[in-house]
Amino acid sequence: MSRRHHISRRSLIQGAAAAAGLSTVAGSSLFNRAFAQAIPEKPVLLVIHLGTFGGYNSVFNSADSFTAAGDFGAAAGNITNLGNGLVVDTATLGSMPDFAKTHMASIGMRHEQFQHEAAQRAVWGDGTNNFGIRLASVMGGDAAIKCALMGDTTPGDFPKSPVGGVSLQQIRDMGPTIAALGGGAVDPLTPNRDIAAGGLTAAQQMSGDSITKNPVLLGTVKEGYATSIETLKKPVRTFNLAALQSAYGIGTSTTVNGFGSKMAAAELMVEAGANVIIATDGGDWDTHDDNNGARARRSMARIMPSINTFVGRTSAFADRNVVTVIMAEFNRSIPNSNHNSGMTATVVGKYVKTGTTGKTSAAANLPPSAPKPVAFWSYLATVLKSPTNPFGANPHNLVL
Amino acid sequence: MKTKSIRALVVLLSFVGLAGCAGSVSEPEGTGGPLGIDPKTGLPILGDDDAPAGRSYKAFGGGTLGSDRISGAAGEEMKRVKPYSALVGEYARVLGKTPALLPTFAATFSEPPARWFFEPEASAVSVFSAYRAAFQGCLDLTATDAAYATAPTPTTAATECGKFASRFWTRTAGSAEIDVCVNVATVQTQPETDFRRKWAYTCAAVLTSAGFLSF
Repeated sequence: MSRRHHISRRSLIQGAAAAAGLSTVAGSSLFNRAFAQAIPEKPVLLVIHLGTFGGYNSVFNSADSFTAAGDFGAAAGNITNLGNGLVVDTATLGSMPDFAKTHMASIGMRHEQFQHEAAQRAVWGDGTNNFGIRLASVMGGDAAIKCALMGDTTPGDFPKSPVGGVSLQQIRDMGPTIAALGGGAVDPLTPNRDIAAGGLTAAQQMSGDSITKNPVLLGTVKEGYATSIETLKKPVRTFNLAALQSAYGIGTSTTVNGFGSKMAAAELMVEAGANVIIATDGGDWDTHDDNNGARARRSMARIMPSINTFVGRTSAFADRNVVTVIMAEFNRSIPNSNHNSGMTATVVGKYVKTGTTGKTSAAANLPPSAPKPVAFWSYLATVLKSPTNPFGANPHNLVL
Repeated sequence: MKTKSIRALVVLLSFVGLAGCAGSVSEPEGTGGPLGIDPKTGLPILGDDDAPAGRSYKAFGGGTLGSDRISGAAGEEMKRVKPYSALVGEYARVLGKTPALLPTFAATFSEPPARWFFEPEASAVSVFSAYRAAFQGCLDLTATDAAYATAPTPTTAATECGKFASRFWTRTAGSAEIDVCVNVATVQTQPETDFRRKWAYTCAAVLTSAGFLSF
């Protein structure tokens, strides 16, 4: 066993060195590509949920469904065919970077729930576990913060309990977050990280009685101690906060509240090694009576620049496989843009094959045979190339 | 005529309401004592029928109004994470002044916008930030007192740990808690050579415990 391991490591080093050397000498694209493929890719999922109580109008990711009747303002002149049956709204999803437009899928799911809370529970969990936290717990990696919530906004009914030893950690300010990860300025007031880990372990022990007697109300304190201690034991990371602030146009602010800052913090957590990142936009997404789609379009226009920045920058990370999802608890229905019984999500990622399994009817409905939400999470695990897929078989065959 | 009809309706509904309640009040529940003492929490264990002074009301559907009541041991789930607005005063109360870092942690401690309320939740970042604020405050607290001019020993650490706990938690620390604190002072801080900083680290551990961060 150890001999095989030894040979494998040596072969890998020799092969990489040879590839690097030859590519330098001959400029060989073949060797460059072989070397690039040898870089391990860390899977990362960003889920953007539209609204604490919202909806994702399928005019954006099933745009051709509505052109005949002109519902939600769809017309032949404002849609873009990305191929393999996927037609999107030009001004929003059609404005994404070229990488996204060639690696985008619409994934449909039916949950038969018409109320926000019930639909949120259906798309995010199985009644007990949060699918996102569950996925984060099986994706591997060595980061202490494996599942991160940008800011403190979540969908209205959102299971938060830890799954498989992974808890949801709120990122409310990038400055203190960078300090916790070891990337902040060091001065005499900065505690030594090893001593701090010991001090917090002691604080955790001295808090044991309170935590035991208040398992729910002090549950986040318990998880906070465990994850902060683990964070302090990891190697320190450095980050370029100014570059993030500039890229996302948030000035010198570090607070994670507006959508731009949530995307900046999401990129920070991609770099920090998180597995699953969740960002909820608290804007105007519960767009009842929005028959011409104007309100939904205004909301999308507000968030698309930050999403485009995130996708454009993270798709260039050679050592990351970043999958970006736009979703809500349901589509909007026709007439009157009310609540639908299913949802079509947008998925962008390196191993996403362009196409759709979420094309709706002209009445904005998905077919009764559309898979359940758990199958959507199985698809995400598949395109993430997660080492484990806890969600069963993936019926969405849009995988590169 | 219309007013009379409404009055009649109100009177009728009142009778229906009274019948629905008064006719179905059962005897107070809870006749026995506690089933025992929970060794984990040290609190009495109450059986389902031992909820003190509880009454059960039959609902119109035949069930009881208390059927979905969540039961739990007495004394559990009484604490909350202190919100940022409370921490500002609390650090000043126990340390004599607010750590300069604290205002930079308002968002991290989930300070809500004006006229809004969020039930505060802790996180890895907020816990470490609390430790940073505590360490800064404790550096000031231990800067001049003669008690912190020499290296902690098991004896002096036990004394000072007890003082820290009384000051920060408003209660007397148990022996196990003192032992943990003494270990910080005499073992965990060994890499630190400055005696006063050793005491500051010790102080910070006590100040970052749930005894201070919750109420």
